Amino acid sequence: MTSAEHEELRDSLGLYVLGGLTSAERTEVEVHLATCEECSASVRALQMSANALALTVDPVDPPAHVRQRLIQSIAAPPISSDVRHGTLKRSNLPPWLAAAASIVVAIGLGGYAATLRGQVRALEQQLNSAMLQLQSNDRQMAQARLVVADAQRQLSVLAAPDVAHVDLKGQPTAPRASARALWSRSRGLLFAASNLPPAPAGQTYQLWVISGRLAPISDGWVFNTDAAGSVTTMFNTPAAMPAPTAVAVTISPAGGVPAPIGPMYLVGSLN
Amino acid sequence: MRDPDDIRRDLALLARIVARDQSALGELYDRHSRLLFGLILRIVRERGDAEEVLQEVFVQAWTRADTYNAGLGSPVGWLIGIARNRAVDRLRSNTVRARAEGQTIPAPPVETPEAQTSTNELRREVRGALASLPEDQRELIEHAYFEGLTQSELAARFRLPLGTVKTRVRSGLLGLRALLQRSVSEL
Repeated sequence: MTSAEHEELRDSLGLYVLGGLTSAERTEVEVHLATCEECSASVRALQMSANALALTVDPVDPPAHVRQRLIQSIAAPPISSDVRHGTLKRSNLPPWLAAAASIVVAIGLGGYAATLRGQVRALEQQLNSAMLQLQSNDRQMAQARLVVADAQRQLSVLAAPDVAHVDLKGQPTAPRASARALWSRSRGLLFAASNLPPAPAGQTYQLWVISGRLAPISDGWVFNTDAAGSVTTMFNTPAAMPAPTAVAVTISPAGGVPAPIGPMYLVGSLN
Repeated sequence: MRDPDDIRRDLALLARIVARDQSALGELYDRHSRLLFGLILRIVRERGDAEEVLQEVFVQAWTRADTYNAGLGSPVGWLIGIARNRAVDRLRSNTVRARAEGQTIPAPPVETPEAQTSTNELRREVRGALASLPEDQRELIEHAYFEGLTQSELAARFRLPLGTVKTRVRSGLLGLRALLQRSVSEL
């Protein structure tokens, strides 16, 4: 900074304290003030002169409602972002404050921050438990929807005008087992069985539709039973599938196979 | 002259305000609202606007008390600065709106320092100092301070080169400073 530049900026300081400079000039002055102690001192002196201009105006009593509105407006202050995060930035406190009233302020802010932290923690706990409840409710709701949808599909098969019944009997591999298959070309195949032994580990039951002398058909129709040996399930069947004359159940490796292997566990012919 | 006890009292109030003591803001208001309302009213000229600006000033004091810097002046000087800047902002936006709506802007009140009644010694002293400035400095300073005119607006209004506006404003403020050395040292 040359002395000519310094003098030029110094001349601007009067308008600077009165807010009369362009923003570009104001920035230039502020950059200069950061390093020029002489001009900084000058600004402080000029600012006091400017403030004195306020004393040339006669004081006027403001109406009482201004004070009332003011106190009302600060009574419920917006929570600052610092407070929302449960901490108050002590480092923002100006040095004069530390000197003037550090103890009072520390106790005041500390107490306030602690109270807020407690409130925030309590709210977070409430929120978490509400979220868990909500998630649990969501899961239950989704399960209930699946159950309802499944029941509707099963009902639709039962009520179908083209429904065909096949009663299946347990074979020597599962003598106590019994089952019923209900088939509708438009709505699919409903299958319900009971008293089946659990499928061996790594294996699964597979359902086959037999139509006359054609090879048994199974479109990945595999299922497992519950602990009591029961199952009720729906299978979609291709619209072009020949009408079944019989239905059978075998045991297959997990995922099913294209053609039946091993003994039949259940079998029945069209009623 | 401002009593150092007054400044200490204001500093204590600001400390309580930073600690969120609402009654401290009420006390600060009771101590300075007359001075600030007079200043704001002089600048914005309309009572409803002046009342709103006065409230804004103290809301700012409430929310920004931690930004007060004792090295730059007294608490009342800080409040005067906030009030003056907010009042000028309001005046400017009113002026822009009035122009947009085709209204005429009311002329600022014509007052000479000598014509005003003085209510205390400090006021008399400040007015006397302002009146004793050279006319060409005083009118620039008054228009900048009370009307918020920028340097280019001042240059146009008074048909002066920008450089002349700058030096006259600075000389005038320095002259005031010299005349009021003791009285305003705490503002």
